[in-house]
Amino acid sequence: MAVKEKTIVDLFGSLKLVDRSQLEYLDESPTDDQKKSKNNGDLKSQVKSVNDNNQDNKNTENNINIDKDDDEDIDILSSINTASEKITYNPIDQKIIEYLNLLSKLYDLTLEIDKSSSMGFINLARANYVNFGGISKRYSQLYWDMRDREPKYIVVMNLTQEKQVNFLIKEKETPIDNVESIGLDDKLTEQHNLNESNLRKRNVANLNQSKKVETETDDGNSDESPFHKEPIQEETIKKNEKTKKMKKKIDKSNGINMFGGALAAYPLKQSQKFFIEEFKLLIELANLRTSIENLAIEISKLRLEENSKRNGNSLSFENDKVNIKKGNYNNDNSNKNAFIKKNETNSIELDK
Amino acid sequence: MAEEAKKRTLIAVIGDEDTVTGMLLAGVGQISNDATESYKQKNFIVVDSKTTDDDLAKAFDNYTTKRDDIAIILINQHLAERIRFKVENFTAAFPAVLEIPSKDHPYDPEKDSVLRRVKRLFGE
Repeated sequence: MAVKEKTIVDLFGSLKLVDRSQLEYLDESPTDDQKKSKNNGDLKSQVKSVNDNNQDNKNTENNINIDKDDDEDIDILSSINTASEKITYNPIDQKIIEYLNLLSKLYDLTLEIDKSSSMGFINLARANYVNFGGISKRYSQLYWDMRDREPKYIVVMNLTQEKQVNFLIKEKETPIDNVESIGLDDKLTEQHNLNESNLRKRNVANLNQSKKVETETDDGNSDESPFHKEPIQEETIKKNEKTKKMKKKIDKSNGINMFGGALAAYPLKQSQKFFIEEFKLLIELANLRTSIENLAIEISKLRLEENSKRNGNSLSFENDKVNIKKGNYNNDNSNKNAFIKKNETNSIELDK
Repeated sequence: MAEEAKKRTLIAVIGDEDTVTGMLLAGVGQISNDATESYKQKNFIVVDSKTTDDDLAKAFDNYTTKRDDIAIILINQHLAERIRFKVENFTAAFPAVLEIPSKDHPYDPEKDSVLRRVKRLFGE
């Protein structure tokens, strides 16, 4: 049974793969040549004989060399890799292969982004229904907390060795001013804040006098009596110490605090998770796109060079401009040169 | 260029209400009411049925040219379609413009500006 071959991309036509499932059929219905080699248990010769029968395969470098032990399974992927190393590509073809790989990654990423964003919107709709019970009210701009705030996530741009911009997500450190504290008893917290503030304390003398009066009137063992009344300041200080432990510091930069914080509906918190996921995927998408655009520019440069060689011209690249020295430039305004603009002085600018 | 890159840390959002809500939930929103100019006060804009194409284009210009602290602009694809001429002609390295799907308009690869260039590169 002849082995069917598949082409990866129709653009190239030189690189071919052997289908693994078809290879297994070799053992079931071998040809005469294959029968002989099967007796020897040599799969390598089987593949060679199949390739010899194949009329399309002219390039001998594309033959896959498989070394097989009797008991081991064939690792076709490793054999393909070794085969690909032997194949020599044009520089343009190599770039185009990279370009197509990046495009497939881009496609997969966009599918993931679509999924996470749709889950985020579904949970947002649930939150609107749960919180407001209808279509009239929802988590709209009227609901947002529009006080000053800093973002939780910022982007840091790095320049790689290939002069490519790379985006990185960084969680911004929240400054002290941005942190809000909530105590159990707001009145006590206000007193506590006043005590700590730099305001001049008034009526301190009166309070101290009242302390003295109370201590004088009390009997001995005043601390042990159940009806002992401590001075007001000590009471407040003790309570404030308790509230300190119970205080929760709220991070204003957290997005959920724009929608009520702890009081926000549970589906809203679920949607927040999906939107954070989507945001991180979007940053990856940005990195992918910059690499795709840079590759496209390189491919267009290489094509220019090829075209110029055919026409007998010489090219030089200076600061995103291409200068042509000799020969008649091919005034082909085809779509292949989409990244190139023409100038009147016969120099061409590369469009980024 | 490195100094410019250090300044650019924020992410701007131009989208419909639900998209902006989602991005604010993610923690991208920045508000400074002290800023004198209106476009510097927030890094997000909600586009509704009353927003005209001119307003959209102005918002895009504000985030791309006037503000120097924005690294990435997220814009809904159906809104980018309304100002396609602006988005296509914007060729600077910073800020990066990303087209994102919205609730009512899922992602369409045929309308994406990067993939359109791919088609042109391969002669379609």
